[in-house]
Amino acid sequence: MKNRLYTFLNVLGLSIGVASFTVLFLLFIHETQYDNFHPYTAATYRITQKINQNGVGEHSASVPFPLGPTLAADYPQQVQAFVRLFNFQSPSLSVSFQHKKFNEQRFFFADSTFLQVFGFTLVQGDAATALQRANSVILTQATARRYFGNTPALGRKLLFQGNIPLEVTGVVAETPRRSHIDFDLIASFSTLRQMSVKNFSQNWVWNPCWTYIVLQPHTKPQDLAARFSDFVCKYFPDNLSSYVQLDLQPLADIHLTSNLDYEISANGDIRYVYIFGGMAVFILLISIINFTNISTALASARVRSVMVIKAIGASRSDLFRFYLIEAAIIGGFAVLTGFILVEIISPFLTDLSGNPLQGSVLSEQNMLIGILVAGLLAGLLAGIYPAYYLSSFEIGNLYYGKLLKIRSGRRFRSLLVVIQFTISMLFFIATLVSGRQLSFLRNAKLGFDKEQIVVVPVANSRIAKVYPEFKAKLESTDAIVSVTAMEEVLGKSYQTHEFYNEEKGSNFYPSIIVSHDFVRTFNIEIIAGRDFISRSGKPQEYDSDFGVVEDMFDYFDEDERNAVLVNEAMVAYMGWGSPLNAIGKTLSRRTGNEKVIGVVKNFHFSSLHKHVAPFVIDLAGDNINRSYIKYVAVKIKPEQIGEGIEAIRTVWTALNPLQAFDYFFLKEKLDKLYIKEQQLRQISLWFTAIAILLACMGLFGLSSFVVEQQRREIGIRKAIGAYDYQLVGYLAMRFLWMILLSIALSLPVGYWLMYRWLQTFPYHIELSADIFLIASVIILIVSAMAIAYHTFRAARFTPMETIVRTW
Amino acid sequence: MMSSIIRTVNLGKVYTSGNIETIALRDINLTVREGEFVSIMGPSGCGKSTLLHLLALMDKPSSGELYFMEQPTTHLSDKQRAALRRYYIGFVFQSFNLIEELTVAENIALPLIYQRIPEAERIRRVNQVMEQLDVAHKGHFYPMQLSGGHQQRVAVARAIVARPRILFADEPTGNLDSQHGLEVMEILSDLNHEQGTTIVMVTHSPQYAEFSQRTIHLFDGQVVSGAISQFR
Repeated sequence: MKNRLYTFLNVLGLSIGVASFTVLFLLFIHETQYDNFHPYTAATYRITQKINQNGVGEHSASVPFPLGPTLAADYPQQVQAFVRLFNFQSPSLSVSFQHKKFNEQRFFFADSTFLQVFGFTLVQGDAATALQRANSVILTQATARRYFGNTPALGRKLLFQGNIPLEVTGVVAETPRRSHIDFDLIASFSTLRQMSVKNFSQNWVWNPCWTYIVLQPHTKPQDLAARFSDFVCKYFPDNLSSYVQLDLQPLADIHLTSNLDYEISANGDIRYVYIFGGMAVFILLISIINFTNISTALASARVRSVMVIKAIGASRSDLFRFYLIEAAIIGGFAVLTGFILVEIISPFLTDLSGNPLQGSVLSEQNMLIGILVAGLLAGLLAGIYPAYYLSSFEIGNLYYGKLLKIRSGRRFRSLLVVIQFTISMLFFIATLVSGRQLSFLRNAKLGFDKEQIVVVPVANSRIAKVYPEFKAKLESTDAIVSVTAMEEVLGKSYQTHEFYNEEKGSNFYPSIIVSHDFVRTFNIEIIAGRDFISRSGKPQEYDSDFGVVEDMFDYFDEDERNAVLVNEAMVAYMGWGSPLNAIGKTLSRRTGNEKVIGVVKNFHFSSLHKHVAPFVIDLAGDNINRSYIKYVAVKIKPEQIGEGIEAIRTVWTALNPLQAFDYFFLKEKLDKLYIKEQQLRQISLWFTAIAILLACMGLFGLSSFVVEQQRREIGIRKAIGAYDYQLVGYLAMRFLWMILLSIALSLPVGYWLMYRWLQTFPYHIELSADIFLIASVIILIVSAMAIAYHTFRAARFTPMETIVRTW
Repeated sequence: MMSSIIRTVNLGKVYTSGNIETIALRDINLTVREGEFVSIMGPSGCGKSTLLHLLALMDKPSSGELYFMEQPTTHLSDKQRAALRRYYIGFVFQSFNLIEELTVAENIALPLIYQRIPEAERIRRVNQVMEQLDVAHKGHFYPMQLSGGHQQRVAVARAIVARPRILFADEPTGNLDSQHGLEVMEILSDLNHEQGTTIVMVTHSPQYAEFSQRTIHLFDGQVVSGAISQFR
């Protein structure tokens, strides 16, 4: 009965180990197999653009409109094909079909070569022609179902932004889809000619196009890259060309290694992939150690039968083989159980970005074979020592009462336990540190309010045109405190705009164009000067949704034309001395001279992954330049959030009935900036718990073994007069020294690893002693619990029971 | 008259395994007085060792009462029983029961450690008892390195080092050849005669029972003769 329990523990431990390994391995595979299905993966590169002006600038994943075609035309010997993707840098684009309206967040315009360069396959339509004509669109199967249900999609017409028809010319298969280009709809690039975007076809400043090229066979990327500086000089404007650097980024590397400005979507992180790989191996190691330890412990109960078999004539190698096969079978069974566990939990698994993991272990043949082999190997590896150990008993030992004096391998087992607990401790420390860092990132004072703020994406919508009316109606609602508009989501992203002054010349600075009440809505602290003031409202009508109305500044009121706010970092960067001294300094745009009217305290205008840089807040005003109005931020009274949102919906529907109303809470959006850290924490939390559970299961089994072996000694000590508590202490120390040693080993290693990890964050927590103390104490308590059962039980027996039962 | 160190009243022991009850001892009434050397004899399975374990407070009776130094013991906690064993009782096992991880000297010192005797005194007394039992030269050896006779000497040394009022010996010669058996019996006899240590010994051998002053005969878990001490 007892042996059954331990065999069960043994199989369960290895199953959990294999299941954990498989899950982590799935994540590992998931993350490392992005963009490996394209026809020219190795020859496909994304062009990136770095602007670095005296340490200020951007490193952008996207480049100007004309760059792709110009490069292909100028270097036909090197460039085989190019594709651009473009989405107006808009958070969502409105698409409708009859009464169905959606704000599509994964909508792009792409050159007709899209389906030739990338390996997405069409289940309907002709890949060669699908994106050639203007007003064509391809969409994914799921998106097609969303619009058309189960009726055929091909030939149907969607409406883009309420007025531009898009005919469905292809439906994209769901797999293979593991790509950093995460799309629902792709419209033909030529469609853009009907829109004001045509103005940008020769604009070398704005860089909204993700541009990919396929190199000609035998062309090395460095051959092309060597020509980039000439190319930049030839085409980029003079004031920019000396600061611009173009680079080629291998397509397959983007998902794991790229973290640039304006990424198409949030990418993975190679560091976390290594962490998962490491965790997978370590958890498997812990469960293999368990298997070894418990099997060896179980062996003590089998000594007699081993010797009888040997006495009958079995050789040592016969026995070794027998026990190894037995271990492999148990291992195989554990792998099977592990798979079942994984299949059960797989629907709940998500990748680093929080998206569901596609497919299962069973659906990926190579992985299945790989893990099966790994499982069998694990079983064999775990079985080698017990097999060696069991087969090594000498028949002679049967006499002389040596049966239960199996002490050989005690050190080895202790070493294994120390390894297990060292790993568990490291996991634990990592979990605590990553948890605190995540909490720090989420709760850090950003320098502006993120609570109670609802953000409404309005880019390219009618709301952007009628923003003053929208704002006025909202502000007349009781639940709403204030309303402002901005071109990016504050705290998440920003733009770079060109400013000029005598101190630094012409530079592209991180900046945001906003409308009135921005500072008030976000409660940003002004430390010198004043906020923007609206002196008059001059409602205007404009035809263009997208055009920059540069010639209209006669209508701007003073601040809209003349004023900017800067942050403290800008004051320092410019060398203006004190914030007060900065007031009145020039920071001009091409549209005219602008002056600093106020200095705000530094705030985190992007995620805490980046240092606060010099920053400009520029006022566009409510009446002009609607292309900058991409988001409306509404501050709602804390107790009236529901009413506030309803009010926005009502006003939206009244002013813009054709487009669906969308909104999000700023805090939730900003929390998502740390989704990777959150996922890491979540995963490390789970697997730390599993690691500790496994290690404790092993310790439980081992303590049973050791107590069993020392039963006689316990009896003798009791007979002599040892008290129970002395025996419990004595037995406990036989294990606790291993735990203490593990803790001692893991503390410096854990400190070093966590220190290194935290250094990758510009803003991070300090490693404090209590983290290590908590981890140590909890590990000690948990391991004490694991050994308590057997030690207390042994100590409570009467001396006679303990001694007599041994013989 | 010497006071009784052990007195039992209707002492009984029943082992239960599943639904089966086995009566090991029934209505044992006996007395052991201070300074006596008593043997317990009887055929295999008659309950000799069970009785010895009960008398030595290493096991609990199922019924009856055991008076140790005139104090009833059945209501005592495990800790109180351990304390009595620690300070008043020594025990020699048939199979020596030395702790293999400890040296001879450490094995002998064990009861003194539990009595929290200071180290210097401990060493002195260990050396003294090793001299007495002629194992002084084996102090740094491990039990496995000794002959059976020497192991039993060490076991006796460990049993008497704390100067117990009573020494129990469970077939102390059972694993020894006749020469070593005789040696051990002489040691026990000397302890009784010279130091006045009360000894209760289980033995199969009538020859070794001769060393005692009285023999209690057991049969099927009951005392058939020798229960009452004639010792003055």
